[in-house]
Amino acid sequence: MKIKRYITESDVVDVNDKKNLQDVLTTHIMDPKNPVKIYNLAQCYDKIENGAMAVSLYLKTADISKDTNLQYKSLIGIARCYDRQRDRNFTTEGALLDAAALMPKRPEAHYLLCAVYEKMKKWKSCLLHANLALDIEDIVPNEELGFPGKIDLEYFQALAKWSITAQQDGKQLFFNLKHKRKLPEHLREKVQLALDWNFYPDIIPYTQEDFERYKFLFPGIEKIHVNHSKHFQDMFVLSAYRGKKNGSYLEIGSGDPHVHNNTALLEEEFGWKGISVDNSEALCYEFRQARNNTVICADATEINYEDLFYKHCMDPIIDYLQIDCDELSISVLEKMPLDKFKFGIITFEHDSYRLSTDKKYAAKKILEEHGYVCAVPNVGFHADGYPYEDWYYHPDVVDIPKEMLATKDTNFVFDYFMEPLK
Amino acid sequence: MHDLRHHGLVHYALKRGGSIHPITLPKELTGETGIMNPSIFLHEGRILLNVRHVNYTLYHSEGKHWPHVWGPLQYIHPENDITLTTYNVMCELNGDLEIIHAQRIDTTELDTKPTWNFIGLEDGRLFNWEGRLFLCGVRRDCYDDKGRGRMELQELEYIEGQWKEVARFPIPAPGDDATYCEKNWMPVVDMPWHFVKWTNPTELVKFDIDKGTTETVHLTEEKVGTERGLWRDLRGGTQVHPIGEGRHMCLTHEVDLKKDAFGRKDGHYNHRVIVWDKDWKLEHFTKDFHFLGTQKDPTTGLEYNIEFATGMVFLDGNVIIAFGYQDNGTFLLKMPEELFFDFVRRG
Repeated sequence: MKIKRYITESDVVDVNDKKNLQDVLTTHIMDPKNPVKIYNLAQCYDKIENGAMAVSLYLKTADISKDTNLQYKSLIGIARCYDRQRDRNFTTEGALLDAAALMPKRPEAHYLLCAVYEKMKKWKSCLLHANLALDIEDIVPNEELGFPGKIDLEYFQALAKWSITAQQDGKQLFFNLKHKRKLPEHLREKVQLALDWNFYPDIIPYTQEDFERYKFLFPGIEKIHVNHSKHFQDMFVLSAYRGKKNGSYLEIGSGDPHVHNNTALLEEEFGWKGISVDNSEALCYEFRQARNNTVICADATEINYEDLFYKHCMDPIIDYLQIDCDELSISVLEKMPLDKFKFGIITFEHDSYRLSTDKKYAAKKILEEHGYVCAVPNVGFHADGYPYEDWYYHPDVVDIPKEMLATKDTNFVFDYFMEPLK
Repeated sequence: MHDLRHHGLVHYALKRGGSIHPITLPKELTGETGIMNPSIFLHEGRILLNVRHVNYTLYHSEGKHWPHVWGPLQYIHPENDITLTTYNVMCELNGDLEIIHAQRIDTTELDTKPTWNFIGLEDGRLFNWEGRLFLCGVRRDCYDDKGRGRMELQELEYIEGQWKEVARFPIPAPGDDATYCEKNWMPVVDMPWHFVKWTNPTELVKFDIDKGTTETVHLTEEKVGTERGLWRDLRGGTQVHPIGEGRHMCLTHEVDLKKDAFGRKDGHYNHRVIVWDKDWKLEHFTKDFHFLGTQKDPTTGLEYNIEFATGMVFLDGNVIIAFGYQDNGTFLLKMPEELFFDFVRRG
């Protein structure tokens, strides 16, 4: 039964709570040194949101008790009550540090400290306690102590990491939360807000933890710990060719030998050969140091590709062509001897999210005239779109698995490759 | 005799037919910070209880195992508010000592801009003189910027659904009024305008509300009872009540301001019931006791506890003592009169 108490209209309390309070108080007074009874009384005050008195009783429990668990719960109770009173973060922090020091292998105090440090914007402390907690083996939610579970620690880890560095690793953690974790309701909006604010990471990698959800499995995928492409281009090629070994490629706009690179995985794990082209002397130098395959330092719009292929004795059928030259991609495509050479897979950068779609459609016209089919149009790096590449295949060259042919006009790359979370 | 120090008077009373009544206020009224030092009184047939509400929550690790980083005894107020602010909440109770109405007393018409960090009327004792309801406590927010404090009478009325302070009467110390702080004067409920300013030796003061002056009307020459353990000052507690044959009685407190092992402040409070004869001679006092017991500092062996009683009333054959615990909690102890006076005699 609920009755109205006092003059405040909004103040409605269960009459049983009040009766219970008096009973528990009496029980405590008759056995005043029993810490469990003091704790029970503290909980009664805590429950009816009379935090000050609850603080005194939790402190008394912690002082009197020899039971580490009870002390731990009491210290967290102190923090909870001060936290509700607002603007007492220093004290809340102190009680939680006491709890964490008492039982450092329990996650609750670490988690609550993260929440305090979020308010205080003490991000390094927040990250420390998120990581300490995530290092604990068995992380079990604890409703009584206000610990919702491991994923909330991961949220604080991401938030702290981002807030400290504003770098890709923080973005990556938020990306993982949104796309690799089943988020509880209370975190969904927070994570989305963080991603809206921070934007998506530059790279969306394939890692071994994605294996279970990967749609287009191929022989050899199990040995891939992490790929190198920005957005799964290397995985697309390997999936289309079912893990082909010793394939061939022409990589225009190769950039760094590994970071964001679409052919490093093909070369190093699957034995592919090919030619890479970039106009940066520094990157080409690095490439030569790090990779075995050929790199040419040149302006890709000035190259005679037919000559290039002949000089390097390349077959008229080449398994993979990458054209990644920003605004100049279309100019490079126009120079390709498509009548004499066929490419099994082409990843073509059009950047239509920031440029117009003119170049995209110009490329599409050229490629379709030469028998290419767009397998994945408008590959985007954000759940809201941001299309920047089209991925083509030539049916005469590669028997691409039918399930790899996209059915959507715009394809967020992670959703394209991954089964939905179960 | 029962262990009144470690188990407390409430334990003693509950084992013999008394009862304890927790007072809680809604968080909308308090923000969950401390409510303490209540004063109970009967006025116009109603049971009224004034509760001191403060903007802090006391952190007191009595056992010294979990001190705050600043020490075992700390006032934890908002980090952006250095004041120690008191509000007074007037409650009406039913016969079961449950609150049926609670409301912050509106003092806005008489408030002035504070000149010191302790704001509001502190530790008010509730009583009625000549049909006028008063709260009498110490105010330190209007005399200077160094904390000078004076007793003050706050006259209260319930006007159109609102408890209001309708008049404010500062009370100077008798004589040259040169002291730093006056507090814990106890109103003598059957002697209008009289306070017990000091208890041992007893100093009785009369306040002239029209002139705003005070005079000492009785002063006992010597401190008594030291041979029986009365070595601390007996400081003001509840109102002073007549108990027949011209005698008066009240609860007092004693305080040991102590330090922990690192020299950080701490405190320990004791209480007694004391009785004066018709000539204001201190004729009896109980052993010192606590209401809810104490803890010991394992390093020093000293006891720590903070409690404070500022009101009591005789009601339907019972004595109701209102006390605060750790500046954070408010309780009413109900003892049958026979049990109470037996305790006073035996204590």
